[in-house]
Amino acid sequence: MTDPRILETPLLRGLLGFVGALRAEGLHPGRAQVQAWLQGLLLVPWEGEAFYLASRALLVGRKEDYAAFDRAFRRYFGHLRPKALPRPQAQGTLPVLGSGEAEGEGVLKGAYSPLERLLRRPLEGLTPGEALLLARLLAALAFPPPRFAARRRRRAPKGERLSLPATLRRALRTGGDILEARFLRPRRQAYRYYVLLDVSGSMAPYARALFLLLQALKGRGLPLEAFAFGTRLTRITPLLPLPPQEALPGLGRLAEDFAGGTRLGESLRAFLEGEGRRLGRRSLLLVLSDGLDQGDPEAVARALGALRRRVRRVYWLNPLAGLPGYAPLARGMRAALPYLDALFPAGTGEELLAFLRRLRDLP
Amino acid sequence: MDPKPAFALESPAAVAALLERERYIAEEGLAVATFLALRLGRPLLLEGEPGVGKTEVARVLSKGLGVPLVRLQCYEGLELEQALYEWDHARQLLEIRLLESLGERDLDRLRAGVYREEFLLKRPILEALELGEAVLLIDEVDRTDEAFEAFLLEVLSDFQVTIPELGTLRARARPLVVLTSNRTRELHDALRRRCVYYWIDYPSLEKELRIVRARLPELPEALARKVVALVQRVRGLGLLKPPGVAETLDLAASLLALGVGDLAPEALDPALGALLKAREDVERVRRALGDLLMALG
Repeated sequence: MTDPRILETPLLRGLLGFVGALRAEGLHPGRAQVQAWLQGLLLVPWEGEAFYLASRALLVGRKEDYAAFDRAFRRYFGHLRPKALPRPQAQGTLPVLGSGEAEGEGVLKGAYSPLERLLRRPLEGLTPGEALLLARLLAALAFPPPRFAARRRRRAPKGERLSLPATLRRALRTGGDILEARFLRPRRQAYRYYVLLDVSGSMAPYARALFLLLQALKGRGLPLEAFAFGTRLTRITPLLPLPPQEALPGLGRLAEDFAGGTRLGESLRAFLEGEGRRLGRRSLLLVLSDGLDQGDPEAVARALGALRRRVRRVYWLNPLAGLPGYAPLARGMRAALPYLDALFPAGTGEELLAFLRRLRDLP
Repeated sequence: MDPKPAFALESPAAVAALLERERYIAEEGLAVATFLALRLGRPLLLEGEPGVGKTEVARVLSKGLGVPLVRLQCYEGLELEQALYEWDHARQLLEIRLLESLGERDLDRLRAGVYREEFLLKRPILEALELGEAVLLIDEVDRTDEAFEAFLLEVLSDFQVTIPELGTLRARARPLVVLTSNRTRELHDALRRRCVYYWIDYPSLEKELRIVRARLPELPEALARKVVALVQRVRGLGLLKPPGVAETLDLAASLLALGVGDLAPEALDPALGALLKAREDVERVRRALGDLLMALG
């Protein structure tokens, strides 16, 4: 099903390949610069020349290198055609999209790069290869994941609060004279992510792309537990490390078992009773669902209300929420609304990117 | 990456709008770089010929963001004490006398009595770290020596300063740091890598005209256009010190003050000093002025 050639050319590698192109021109951005670049791409809207300008501002540190950067950029991202480049040449070499792309070059004609177009298209219409590329791009852009300052502190040579016991212990080495102060600073901890992915019939077109995103996030080390639900709840974390060719059919079989229905309230309760005890202030709960529910809305409210008290944040990602004129009228969605910290649209890569950005701004 | 960046602007367009409100017309590249510096909490390194408005960026940002501008003017031989902090020895001595006269004999208590924050003279970097929400302008960083640059690198990566007698002071929020360089000396790569970089070029004719119009709205447009066109040509002459945007504005302002209505060699002559800062350049332009004005039509 998935074209193996695309597996070998993920978009992340495509982006990082640009660093190789820079090296070929004699530019050697450092690792921290490359990381700042990926972070910067997460922040700037990919409009106009922002992609080009942001890349240059973060990867180049002197004017003399502008020309070499432009050569590399033109060769590598030729299809982006930034206006600032003197002679744009349409020579896209970034091996990204599947060939059977419907809304052809003619319509947009260089207005957006393939990357940008990929971000704007509805998830349901993506080919498996495109969905995979998108997932890897988003995962690359989402890193490093947000950390929060925990209550507990650890000892450190620098910090904001003096640790008297540690200072005195250190002083014993020097015969009781305090030569060196020891401090405390807050531990930085990563959030734990609990993701409930709706794989029922109405969500089928989106579930694949969202699952690939979960895989990519997990693959980069995000502490993440994933569950699929329809009529029942099934833990799918073990599927995440598998290659997509093996994992996706497994996910498909699950969806068939659920025979297309959604029982949101029961699934949430099953989650609460199973994982509920392990949740805590480090946990973020993400529900990926369109909210079309055949169960009891009361049960949704009860279970979500209880979950809300056990985790730091509850976010709901709904693929339909970004459509013009969308209102949360589906029964399950309406029942859930009062208990959410936020509802995010999740129908395109752009919307997912916006969500990941928000996640990064968490305190 | 510990202290969070102090400012949140949502897009490069928002940055450009903020700059424009303060009558600074920015290229998209500058807006993007500034935006990234703000959001990533990295210093913004601006280079460019003198007079293209590098320092002005910091000034305008501090106004637009509504935060204080803390300026560190670099020069050869700049010492840490002038950049960071100094103990106010005179007042410390007075305090010791005072404590002694009050009968204080305990050495530790005397020491604790004088190494207090109130005897600390805060210099720009410490001041900016303490304010957090501020724009720290490190102007003409190329004029300092390499040792100072290495120190800057340290401060700019940790955003904290250790004072042996007091402990470590950390920035509560990251100030926006703007470094400018005129390239009298090549900056170290490590410093460049730490920054978001932008080279401010001379503006295009249209852009420079917008700048002049924004700054001197009372200047008639036709005259403004001629002045800008003239300056753009003068820049092509290969002068010792080609005029920057600041000089264009000076020239335009001088013409306004002199009540010059149209560009003619005689009318321009007294104002040339506003545009050119080297005697040889004045001579050259004076000789070429007739041709230059002719070419403008």
